[in-house]
Amino acid sequence: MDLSRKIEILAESAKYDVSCSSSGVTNNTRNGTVGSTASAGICHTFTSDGRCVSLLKLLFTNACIFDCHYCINRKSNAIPRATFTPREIADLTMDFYMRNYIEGLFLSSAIIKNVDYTSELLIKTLRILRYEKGFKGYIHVKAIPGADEKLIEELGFLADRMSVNVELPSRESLKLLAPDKDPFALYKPMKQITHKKKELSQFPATQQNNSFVPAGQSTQMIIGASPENDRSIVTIAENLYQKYDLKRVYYSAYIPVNQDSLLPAITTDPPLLREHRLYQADWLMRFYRFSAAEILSEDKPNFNLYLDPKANWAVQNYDQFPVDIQSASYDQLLRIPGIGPKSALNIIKARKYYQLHLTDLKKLGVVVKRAQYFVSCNGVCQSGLINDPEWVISSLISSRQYETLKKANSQSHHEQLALFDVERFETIKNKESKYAY
Amino acid sequence: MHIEKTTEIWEYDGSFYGFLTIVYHAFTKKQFPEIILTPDIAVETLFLSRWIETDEPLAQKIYERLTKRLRKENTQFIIDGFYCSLREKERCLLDAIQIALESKDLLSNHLGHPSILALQKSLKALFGEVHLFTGFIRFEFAGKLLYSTISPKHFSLPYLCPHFARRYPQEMLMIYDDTHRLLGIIEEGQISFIENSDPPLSNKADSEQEIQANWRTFLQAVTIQERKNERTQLSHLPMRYRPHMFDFQ
Repeated sequence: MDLSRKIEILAESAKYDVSCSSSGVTNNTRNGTVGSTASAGICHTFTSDGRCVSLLKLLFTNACIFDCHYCINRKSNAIPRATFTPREIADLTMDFYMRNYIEGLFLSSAIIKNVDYTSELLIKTLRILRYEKGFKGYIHVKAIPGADEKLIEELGFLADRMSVNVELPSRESLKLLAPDKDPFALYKPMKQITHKKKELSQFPATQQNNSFVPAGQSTQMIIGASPENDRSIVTIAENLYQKYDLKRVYYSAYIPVNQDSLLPAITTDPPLLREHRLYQADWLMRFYRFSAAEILSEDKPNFNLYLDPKANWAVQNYDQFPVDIQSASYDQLLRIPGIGPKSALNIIKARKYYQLHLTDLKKLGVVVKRAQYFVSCNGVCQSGLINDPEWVISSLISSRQYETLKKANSQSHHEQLALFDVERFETIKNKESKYAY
Repeated sequence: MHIEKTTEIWEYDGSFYGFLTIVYHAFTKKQFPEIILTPDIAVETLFLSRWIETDEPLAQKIYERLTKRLRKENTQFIIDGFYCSLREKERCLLDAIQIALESKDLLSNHLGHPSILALQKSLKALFGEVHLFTGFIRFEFAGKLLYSTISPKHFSLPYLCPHFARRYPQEMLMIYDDTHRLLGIIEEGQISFIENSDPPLSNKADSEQEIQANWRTFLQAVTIQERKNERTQLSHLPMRYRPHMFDFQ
């Protein structure tokens, strides 16, 4: 089989893995003659589905011995199969890297023969790249659950980031949809990498302990293939960030690839809006200092698809507003809809020497049309606005946005009613003015 | 220091040394002009201006004074500010120098001042473009040389070269900026520039075609059709970067 056909088959098989980041390595201390890493990561192109391409994302092989219901590569599927050789992947990576097409390599694999054999093939590929080609660039590799600890450790010293995909948010779903996978084996390599990193950080910084998974770990969950609610997904993500010190949790809206009685029908649209809300919640936990319990409560365990989680929180806690921008702390500023980490920092810098006014906010990067309902400046609020959370909700969502969200919404009308009064919302929306007079 | 704001219009040749000469005149007279023109924008106005002749030794002296008097970060802010594409950057930079002389704080903390805010925004645009180019540049081998052409909006190339000098420490690279007609040459990590250059003739190797085709095959394969969203692609990767990228050819 020629190389271009292999690329076609094995990139196609790898495309459902979301992870694309090449960030997290602050000082690259690897030995080598070519390549570098950027701590913020670099996007090299964007595909027409709007996703960033930073790494050469490939499966080593798609000839899998497992039969997971949700996976395109399961052994019961009749799809074309291919396998690279370690040298082919190493050469292709170097060819693309020299021409600045990619930032590095993302290497995953289906399970061929057994988990240890698969891990050894990955190690062989990375060794050629690191030791023979002198490659210092970014490598993200999959830790194969169930593989021997020594193999996982060796991979860790060769790669910048490792990941184990949790795939499904609960043990029951895993048992049902991935019968060959052991739920405990999934978390084992994660634990091992976390412990090893902690152990090495106790010693003085040397080249060796700087090169063990320097960019940390990530994982991925499939959204919409199993019945878990949003609250349990956000809580699991929070646990992963806190307990295993993960750098990223990725969410992937389930795209039906297999006809299966245990899964949504093949004609179902992927729940992209729900995925989007989960990412927003994820950002709130990582950059806005929110906890999972604040984002979703037990009595409302799913996201309001019409309103983003931050605005939703602000409307639910309307008594904590307006916040005075001249005197509020950084944490308080972060909780105002329309203000992000950067504009909050800009406000703090600008107010140090100058008295701010509401009109200055736009220049400092604040989205004023959202923030105006929640801020005051030296006790002065935007004049003429109605202080009613229902009105605020309707003002935060433009009519066009509402129609778009309505189309993208996969929840039933009945479920939405539990979130807020849709009928009342629509009557308010039909009134023209948002002002009292 | 009290500075008088006048209604004068000055003009200079647009070089960095020329600007430093303007700094000398403005601070010795304690008078800031209202408008500072360069030959490019002078044609757009009808007002008469006073020509300030560039004085290199004087500019050198001013540069040394500034590096001695100002914080390292503030000097860098002013140098970077000079290379950004803000329309009235010279006038803003005079304000910036005045603030930097009076305050020990970072200039970027004075965002409440309109001139500093305008400069900061323009710098953000410059560095944003530089960051995007670190990913969007495409090289091709011409013999042993890696060659690439770009059409940046801002004066990005000098900020871009150090990244590639670190990335390919043993290669010979050439990046040609056809907007500013500037050629950057990186030879085993050493950077040099040729101004007002014509594009160097490159003879592509045949093997490049095959590798570019493999790249396009890969991009086609990783696209998820069910998630097609060209608007998002456009916002992340604007059209102006695409003519020189093989991904779209």
